[in-house]
Amino acid sequence: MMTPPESRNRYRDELGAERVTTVVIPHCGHALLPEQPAARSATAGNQKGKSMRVPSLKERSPLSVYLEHCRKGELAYQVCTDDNTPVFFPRAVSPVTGSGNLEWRVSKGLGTVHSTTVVYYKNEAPLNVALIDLDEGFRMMSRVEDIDPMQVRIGMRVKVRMHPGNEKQPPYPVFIPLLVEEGSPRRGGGGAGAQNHPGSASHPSLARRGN
Amino acid sequence: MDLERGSVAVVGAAESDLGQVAPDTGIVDLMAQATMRALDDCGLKLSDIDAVLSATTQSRYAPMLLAEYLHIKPKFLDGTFIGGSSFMSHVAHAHAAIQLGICEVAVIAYGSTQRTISRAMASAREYNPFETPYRPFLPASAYALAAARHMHEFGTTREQLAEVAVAARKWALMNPVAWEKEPLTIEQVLNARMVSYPFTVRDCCLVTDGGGAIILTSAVRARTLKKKPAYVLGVGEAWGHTTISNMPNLTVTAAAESGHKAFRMAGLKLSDVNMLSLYDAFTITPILFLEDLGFCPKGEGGRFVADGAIAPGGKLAVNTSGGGLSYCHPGMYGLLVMIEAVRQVRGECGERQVKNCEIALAHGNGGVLSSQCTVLFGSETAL
Repeated sequence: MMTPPESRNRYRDELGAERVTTVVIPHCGHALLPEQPAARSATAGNQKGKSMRVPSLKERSPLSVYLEHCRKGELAYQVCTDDNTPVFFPRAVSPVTGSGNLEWRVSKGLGTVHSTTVVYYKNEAPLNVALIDLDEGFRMMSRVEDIDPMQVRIGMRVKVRMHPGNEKQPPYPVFIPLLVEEGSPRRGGGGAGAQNHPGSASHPSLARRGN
Repeated sequence: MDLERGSVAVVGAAESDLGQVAPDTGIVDLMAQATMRALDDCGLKLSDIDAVLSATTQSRYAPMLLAEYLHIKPKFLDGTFIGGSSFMSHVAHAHAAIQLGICEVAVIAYGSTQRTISRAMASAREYNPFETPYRPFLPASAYALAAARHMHEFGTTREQLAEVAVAARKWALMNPVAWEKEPLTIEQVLNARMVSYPFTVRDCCLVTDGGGAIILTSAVRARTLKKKPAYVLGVGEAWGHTTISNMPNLTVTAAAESGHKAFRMAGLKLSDVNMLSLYDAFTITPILFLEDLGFCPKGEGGRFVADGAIAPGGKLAVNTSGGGLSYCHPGMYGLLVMIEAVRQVRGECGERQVKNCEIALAHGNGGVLSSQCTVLFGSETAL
């Protein structure tokens, strides 16, 4: 929970000092955690004394792990276990914390269209390109299939489907519309957990508007 | 140590040949041509140049190529490449180098033959495993994603986007060297070939050859030269992201930060600015920059540009050259953005001259709304 200075002790007063730790972040606005490295470092806790584990790149690359998951039909992403922040695109080192403590997770594959365009290549059917906000709190480029590209709408709920690719292109995740009946937790509204997710925290429009 | 407001000035400014150049013309031919025209503009000699700054998509060694071509022995070289705003960054870097006494006379030059050799040849796309498989038509699709989001959040319309293109065309018709020569209507913009929704080809910048050069020196030396100096009153550089998938907020650019820095250095307020030269790669970009620089509230850009507000005779003079949309867009347009601002401050723009233009803002954009850089130029009276 981030609060302005005037209300910084509110939760400590309500819940007790043993349950609530207050960390003052200098020069921090109401703004977005990922855009304020100092803020994220502060919320990540005191790193002093911890030795940094920087992973080797001799055996496997972050991209190769991602693609292995794709071949198994899984959309993989990472979480920095130092501060529970989802990380995408895959990296060897976590942004902001610089930590190598990146844990691979498999996304449930449910998300929301954040923005969409339709590309008109000559002599080809129109092609959708979209930015998808995954429910786990990260954003990726993809496209929405099984629907007229012009009918893809911002805010539309979608679910992942692995495109098989071809001899030149490894399998890659695309999305299809999620039928309303299948149901899904509604996002947004700025719940407490949202603070840890750059996907939602850095996209205040989603938090403000919901889906 | 800070950059000193007005301690450095642009003293010479010139375009190379624009539009379409002869087959097999090299990018350095264009840079050298523009450099000699810019020297002629201010009365300095080639041997006066002791700093070369350049960036181009067609070579990794732009400033070194120009130094070799003209046999300049530079004390300072800068090949900073951050897309179309590179040249505004070069102004900041040249300003620092001149102020520190590392060099005295700097040339910032650019050349492109992308129309002649094709855009694909001039600017090879880098493979990105998280974007390339989806085949976005870059950079247009990235800006289209931002525009679509702006339309969704703020009710911006395709007609309002088209207003930007129509205003640019009206200005271009007053610029003898502009590529486009025919009037343009909102309907024509809307009904043109769709490229990446919501952009038709008329929402997208031109694909032309071209280049330019500007010469900078200290304010003290500037006053001894032929033309009225355009003083660098403020400059601000900022970065937001590199790929569109990683843009923190699709409707807010780092222009807010670069503009703030430039205005703070200049000690100016928005109302002091007489004309704006805003990088118009696509019709959404001037809308975003008007908002982020503070000329209208966030989300109001579309309504702000409506009804010819940025066209000749409108409430704010924006992109008087005709912009990247109608005048010239040789791949990276930032240098030409500044040349028009310098000319407006000098009062050299003929029919399209903004009256009593003492302060002009030039804003550069690089990548996919990624790097943002703002420069404020002022006349002697603005000092």
